[in-house]
Amino acid sequence: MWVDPAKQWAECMGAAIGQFEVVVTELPRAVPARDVRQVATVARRCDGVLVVLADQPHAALAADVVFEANGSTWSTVGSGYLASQEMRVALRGRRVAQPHVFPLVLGASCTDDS
Amino acid sequence: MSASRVAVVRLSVPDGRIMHRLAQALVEVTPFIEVIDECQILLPMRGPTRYFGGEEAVASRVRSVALAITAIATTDGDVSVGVGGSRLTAQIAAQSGGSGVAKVTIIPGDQQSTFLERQSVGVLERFAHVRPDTVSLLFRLGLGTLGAIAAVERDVLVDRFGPEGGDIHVLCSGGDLLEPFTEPLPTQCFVESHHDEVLGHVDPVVAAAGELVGRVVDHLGSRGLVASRLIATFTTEHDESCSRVWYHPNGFAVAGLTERLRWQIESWLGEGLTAGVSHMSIDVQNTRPYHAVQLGLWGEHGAADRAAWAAIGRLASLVGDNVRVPEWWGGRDPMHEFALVPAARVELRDPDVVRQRVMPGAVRPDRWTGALAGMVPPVCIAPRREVQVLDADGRPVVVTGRHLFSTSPEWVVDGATRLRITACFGPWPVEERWWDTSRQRRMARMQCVVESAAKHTAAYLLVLEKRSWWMVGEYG
Repeated sequence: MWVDPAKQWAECMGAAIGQFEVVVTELPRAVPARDVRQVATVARRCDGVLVVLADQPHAALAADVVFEANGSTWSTVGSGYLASQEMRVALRGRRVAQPHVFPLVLGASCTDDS
Repeated sequence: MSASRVAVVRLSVPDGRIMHRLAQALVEVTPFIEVIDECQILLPMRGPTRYFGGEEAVASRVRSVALAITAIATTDGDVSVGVGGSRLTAQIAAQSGGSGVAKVTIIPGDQQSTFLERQSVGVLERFAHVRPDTVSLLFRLGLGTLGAIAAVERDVLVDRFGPEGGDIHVLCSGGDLLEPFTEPLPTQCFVESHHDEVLGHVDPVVAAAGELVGRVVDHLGSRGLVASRLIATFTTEHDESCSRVWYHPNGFAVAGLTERLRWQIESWLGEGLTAGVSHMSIDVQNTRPYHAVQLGLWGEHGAADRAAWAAIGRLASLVGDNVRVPEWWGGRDPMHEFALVPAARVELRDPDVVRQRVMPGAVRPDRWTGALAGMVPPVCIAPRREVQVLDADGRPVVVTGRHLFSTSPEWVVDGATRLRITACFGPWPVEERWWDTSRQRRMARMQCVVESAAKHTAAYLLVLEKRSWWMVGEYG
């Protein structure tokens, strides 16, 4: 589902959090800090997972778990085309007892079947 | 025979506003009309035929009423009327009426079989909501016309297609699954809502109507039924009201019925009422068994499903059609394989329909020649951004007629940012609809891995079209 946040980001988040198992959102730049805090409060009260896509963590949205992807490398099929992407994902946060880094491969199932 | 004869009024150009005015005007001819869709209205002929003195007189009256509406007159009377012994017959007759001038096509009862038997089986999908895969299978079985299907024994079709086979046989034999609506029946299910704070705008009224629809569907669904015909009525605080009969041969799902009510509400509120809506009701007149939904293991949809549907309803009342869900479209353009379509306009509760909507190959083909091989960029750059691709000497790189780079690409210039190409793949030419000068498209694609001045690595999908390079996707 895609929702254009415009000026109704907080209202939309209030309607979605707790009703869907996973809610993914970008943080609009102009959203007031008060709205962010309200959404964070609702998210803590409800079941489900809230994923916030952002370059920098927001002060009001203290995430339990932070995924940070770094160091992408691409592999190819021969010299033909990009077939998969491997990156290193760092996992940290206040609910992570031991921060660690693991590899993540995207698109590995894409093979040349021609 | 005359008991089930019907007329269908058809606009060649769909227009919800004109249809609403037409529906209101046709109530002069008969009080019980059904709006089939945004360009067709159905009228039972029994009462009007007796009153006006024959089918020709009724059809002529209907035509004059339609032409009396200013908006229709300005479109050069682009309306046709079909009369027949069943909905399907009347719809086909109205369709064959042509455009340009108003036309009337009456299929007499004794000619109906002859008229139907030569019709292609494709009309079942177009007018009777028979599923495309069923129509395709009928073709492959050699049953290409309605006459060929009618000649097959009904039991044989039921054995092969289940209850749908029986319905198809009835339609092809000139019958109707449900008689036209001529008088209100005892209600099968009645829901209503009163609003002390009147609703003056479309979205809140539609949201409230959507809740009523959900109650109807849940109530009937618990009994294994679905509403096939109902009366939806909206009333303002000043007692202005708008009532419509809605019919669907397969029964209404939430999205389909809510969409129809949205049209009814938008058209009605657009008239400029003197007060907001204070009461609304749905009176289910006819039901049919619900074959489509595969219920959960314990016989019902899960609580998570119901919570998600309710949330979508609330979000739609906030941001309208900006609540969207994915739909597989396929094609050669990797950035448009999936489209986002308004959630209110698609079926969300039927798992088979949902699966068909998102699964490549279920309805539209999943494999396209010329499609991008390998990874599809997960990030779509919309609108696409114009960039420059340069060689080591700073000259623009193009793709030759032999589908080769003119020189080796070394740089991508994205505005003020200069990115060094560390690896590139392609070019892959694509030429679409070369036979159609207005829609033809010719381009070449290239994947490239680039490195910024800060040693940050990224990969992009670029397209060369009309001598310009465009950045369309990012392997983020």
